[in-house]
Amino acid sequence: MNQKAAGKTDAKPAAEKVIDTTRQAVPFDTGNIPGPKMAKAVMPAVPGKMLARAKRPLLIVGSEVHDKDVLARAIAIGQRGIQIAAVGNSYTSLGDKGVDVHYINMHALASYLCDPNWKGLDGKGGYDLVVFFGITYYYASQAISALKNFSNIKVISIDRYYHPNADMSFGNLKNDVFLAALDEIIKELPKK
Amino acid sequence: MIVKKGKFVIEGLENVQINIGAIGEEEAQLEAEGPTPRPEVITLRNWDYRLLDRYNPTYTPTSDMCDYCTYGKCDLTGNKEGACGIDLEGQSAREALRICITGAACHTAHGRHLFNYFIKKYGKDHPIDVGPSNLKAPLTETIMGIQPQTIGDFLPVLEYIEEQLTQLTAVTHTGQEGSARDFESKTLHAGMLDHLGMEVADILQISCLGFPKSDEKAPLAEIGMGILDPKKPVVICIGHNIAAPAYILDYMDSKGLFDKIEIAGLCCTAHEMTRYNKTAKIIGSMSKELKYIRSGIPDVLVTDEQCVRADILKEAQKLHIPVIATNEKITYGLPDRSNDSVDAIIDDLVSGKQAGALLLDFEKIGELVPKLAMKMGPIRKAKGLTAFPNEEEFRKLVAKCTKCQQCTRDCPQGLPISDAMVAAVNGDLTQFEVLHDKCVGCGRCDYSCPVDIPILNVIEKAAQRVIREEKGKMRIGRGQIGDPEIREEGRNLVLGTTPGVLAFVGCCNYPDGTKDVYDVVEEMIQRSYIIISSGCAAMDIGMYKDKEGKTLYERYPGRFIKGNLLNTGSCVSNAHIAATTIKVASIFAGRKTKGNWEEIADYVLNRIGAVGIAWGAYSQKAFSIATGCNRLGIPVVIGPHGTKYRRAFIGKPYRKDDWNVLDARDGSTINVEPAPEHLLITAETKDELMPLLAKLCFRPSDNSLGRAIKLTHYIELSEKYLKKMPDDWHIYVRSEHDLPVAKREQLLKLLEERGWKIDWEKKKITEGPLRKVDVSFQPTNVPRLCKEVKK
Repeated sequence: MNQKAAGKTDAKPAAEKVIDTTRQAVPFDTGNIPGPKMAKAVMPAVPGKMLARAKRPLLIVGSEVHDKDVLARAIAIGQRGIQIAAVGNSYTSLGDKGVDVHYINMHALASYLCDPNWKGLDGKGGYDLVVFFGITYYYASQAISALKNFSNIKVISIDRYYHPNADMSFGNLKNDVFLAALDEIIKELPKK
Repeated sequence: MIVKKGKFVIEGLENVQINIGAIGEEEAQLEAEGPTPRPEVITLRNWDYRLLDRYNPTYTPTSDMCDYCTYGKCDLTGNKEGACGIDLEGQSAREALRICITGAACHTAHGRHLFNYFIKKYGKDHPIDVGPSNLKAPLTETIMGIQPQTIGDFLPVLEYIEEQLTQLTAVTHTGQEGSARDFESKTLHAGMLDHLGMEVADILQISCLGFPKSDEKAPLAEIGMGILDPKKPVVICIGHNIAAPAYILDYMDSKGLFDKIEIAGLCCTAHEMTRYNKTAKIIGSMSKELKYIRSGIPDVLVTDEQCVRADILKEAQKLHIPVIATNEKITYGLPDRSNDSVDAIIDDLVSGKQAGALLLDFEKIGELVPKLAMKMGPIRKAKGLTAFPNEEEFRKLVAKCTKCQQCTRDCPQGLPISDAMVAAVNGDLTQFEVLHDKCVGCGRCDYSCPVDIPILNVIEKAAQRVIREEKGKMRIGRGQIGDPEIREEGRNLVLGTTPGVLAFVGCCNYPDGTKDVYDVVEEMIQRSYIIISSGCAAMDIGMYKDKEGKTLYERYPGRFIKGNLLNTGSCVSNAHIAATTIKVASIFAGRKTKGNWEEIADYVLNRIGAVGIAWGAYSQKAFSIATGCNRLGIPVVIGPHGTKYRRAFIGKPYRKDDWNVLDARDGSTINVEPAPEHLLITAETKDELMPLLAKLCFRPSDNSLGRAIKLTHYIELSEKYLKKMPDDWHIYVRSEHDLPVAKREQLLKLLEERGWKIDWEKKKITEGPLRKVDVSFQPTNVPRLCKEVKK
C-alpha cells in the first residue's frame, strides 16, 4: 500500500476544529495536469450538501480504503444511504458492514457511467453525482477523466489528494484534516 | 523447367535485363485459403466493427489538449472539437493509433535489422526451423496467405508490414481520419501488423542462431541482481537485439573467457543471450537498469535497441563505465568508430578520452567488448567506483530528509519514501528493502528532492542485503508451441476442461512491486491454468522462491498442458503466444489459416479461453501487442497504469443485444452470456485481477464440464480474494451440469433465490438460464461462415 493511500494511521480521531480543504490544490502527481479545466477546490460542506441533495448519488471507493479510520468514514457515508461502488479490492473491507455496496471494476464503471442508458449497479437508474476517495491516485484520475470528458455526471473528489479531473476536489491534505473533512461531509448527510 | 533466380539478358536486346527473384517466388508461395491475404488498411474493417460494437472503446485521456499541429494548442475538454475538427474522442483514438504504430514499428524494425544481417550472413535460402511444426509461421500464414520456407521468404512479409505502417502513419496526420471508430479499426490493424513483425523477428533468430526450438525442457538460466561476481570484469548488454551480444559471446567462447569475465543482460537482450548461449546470465528487467549501473558493478555497457534508458551514457560516464552503442536506433551522439581499430578504440575508452563509442561492426564489437572489460575491470574495481553512498554518507543523507513528500508526488508508484528515511534514521532499513522491490528504478525522485538527496542511490544502498540474495532461475525461452503439444491439449482448451491459457507478458511498471506477478502465477498454475510468459514478466516470475528454495520454473514443467509454466522468450516471442491460438484453430479444428484472419479470430474469440496479462505494461510495444491480441479475439488485462494508454475495449453485459452470436449451423441468432466480457481492461490490484482472469476465460463454446471447471475457479477466486460470490456467476449457468459438482446443491438454492425454477427431485434447472447447453453449438460473429442463413 503506498503513501497515496491515505493509509497512515497516525491521526487521532478527527478534532473539532475549523479545517480548510482548499489549500494545496495542485495535482498530487506532479505531472498530472490535464488542461485548462481543473477541479475547483472546495470546503467539505459543499460535497456534503451536494451529496445530501443528489437524487441518485454514488460513492466510489477503492483499494486504499482499508485503513480503519478511512474505512469507518466510508461505512458511515454508506450508512447514510449512499450507495457504494467498491472497486479494486475494497469490497473485502466493506462487504460485511451492512451498507449498500456493490463490487465493480473501476474501468468498467467509468465506461458504464458514460452510458446514459446504464441503469446503475442495482438496475434502478443512472447516477447524477459521483463522489470518490481511497482509489490508487493515478487510476482514479484516469477513470474520472472519462467522466469529465464523456459524461454529464458531476464528479467530486473527497480524497486526500487534489484530483484535477473532478469538477470539485479537496486540495492535498494531511491525514487528520482529511479525516476531519470526511466527518464534516457525514454531518451534512441526513440520517436514515 | 525451373527458372532459377538471377539476371538474364535476352540476345539481341542488349538494353533489356530480366530479373527473376523474389516476386516470382512470392507468387509461387501464395496459397491463400481465405478471402483476405495481405489485408489492406480497411480489408478487415467489418471484423473490427463487430469487435468495437460489442467492446466499446472507453477513453481515459491523460490530456484534454491537442498540440499536434500549429492550429493548437486546442482545448478539447468535454469532447469539444479542435481547430482541425477533431474531438477528444477522435484525438484519443488517434493517440492509440500512434502508440500502436510505434510499438509495431519497433518490433518490425528489429525484425528488419535481423533480416538484413542474417541474409548477409546466412543467405536467403537458409531454411526456417522452429521445431516440430508444420505450421511454422502461423501469423504469417494467416495474414499473408503464404507459407514461408526460407528466411528469404520473409522479405515480402517485411515489405508488406512496412508499407502498411506507412499508410497508417499517414492516417495520423492532421486533416486525415476523423472517426474514432475508424481510428480504432486502424489501430487494430497496427496491432495485427505488430504480431506479424514479431513473428518474423523471432523465427529469424530461432532459425539462424540455434535458439531452443519448441523445447519444453529448455535449461534454466540464473537471474537476479545478486548473481554476478563483482570481483570479475563485468559486461552488461541492454536492450532487445541479439546481433551484437552474439558476437561477444562467440568471442568469449572461442577464447575461453567465461571463467574470467561475467556477462549478463538487462531486459530482453538477456532473454536472447541465454537462448543463444546458456552460459549467459540475466540481471533482470528494465527497472533494474539504473539501479545496476549505479551500483558500479558493470565495467562495460553494451546497448542495442528498445527499452534502453535515455540517460545511460550520462549515468555511465559518472562511474567511468564505457558505453558501446551497437545499433543505429540508439547512438547517444557518440562518435562512429566502426572503421577504427579495436586497440585504438579501447585506448580512448580506457583513458576516458571518450565516454563511449558507436560501433556497428559486429566482428569488432565481439573482440572489443571482452578486451575492454579485461582492461576496465581492474581499473574500476581498484577505484571502488559506485554511485551508492558509504555508511557515513548514508546516515547523513537520510537525516537530511524534510519529509516534504515531493519524491512521493513524483514517484510513478507513489512510494512512501520519507517514511523509509525516518525509519533509516532510527537504524531500520526494512522499509527501504521493501521499496527496492516496488521501485521501478526511474530516478524521478532524485530530481524532485529539494535538499538534493540522491534517493534512488539511498534506496539501493539500504537494500544491499536483499540485493545480494536476489538470485533466481528462469527457464530459457523455448520459442513456439509445437504442433504435437497443440494436438494433445487443443481439445481440452476448446471444450474448457483446461480452464484457460494465461499469458503473462510485458514490462515491469507494476503497481505494487514485482512479486505480484509471481503470486498471481502461483495461484493460477495451482488451479491448472496453462501459464505462458515472455519478456520482463517471464523474468520476474523467476525471481522468487518457495520455502524449499525453488522458483516456479523449477517447480513446474514447461509443456503446453494444464498446470505447466512456459517461457516463450523475449518481446518478439509474444508472437508465438498469439500464434498458439491459430494453431489450435488449425490443428484441432481444421480451420484454414492462409489469408483467413477473420475466421480464425472469430474462432479464437468464441472458443479459446486465452487471456493476456500485461500487469506492468509501460511501453508502446506492450500496447500494440495487446491490441494485436484483441484483433485476434484474445482479451487482455493490464495493470492500473494501463489506463494511461487512454483507451480500453470494455464490454457492457447489461446491453443484451451486444451478446448475440450466430449459430453457424443454420444462421440463427443466439443470445449468449458475455464471454469474454471485455477485450482490454485494467484492474487495480492483484486481488481483483485473479477472479477477472477466471471470468475472461469463459467462452460460448464451453461444454458443461469445462464451464463447471471455469465457474469453480471464478467463484473460488472471487470468494478468496474479494470475499464475495461474484454478482454475475449465474449468467454463466446454462444447466445444472454447468455447476461445480461440489457446490451444486448450494448453488441451485442460490439460483432459486434469484427466481430460477428448480426441480429438486431431479436436481434440475427447469427455468432461468439465458440459453441451454448445446454441444453442437457453433458460435460465430461472421455471417458468411453460417452454412444456411436464417431469415
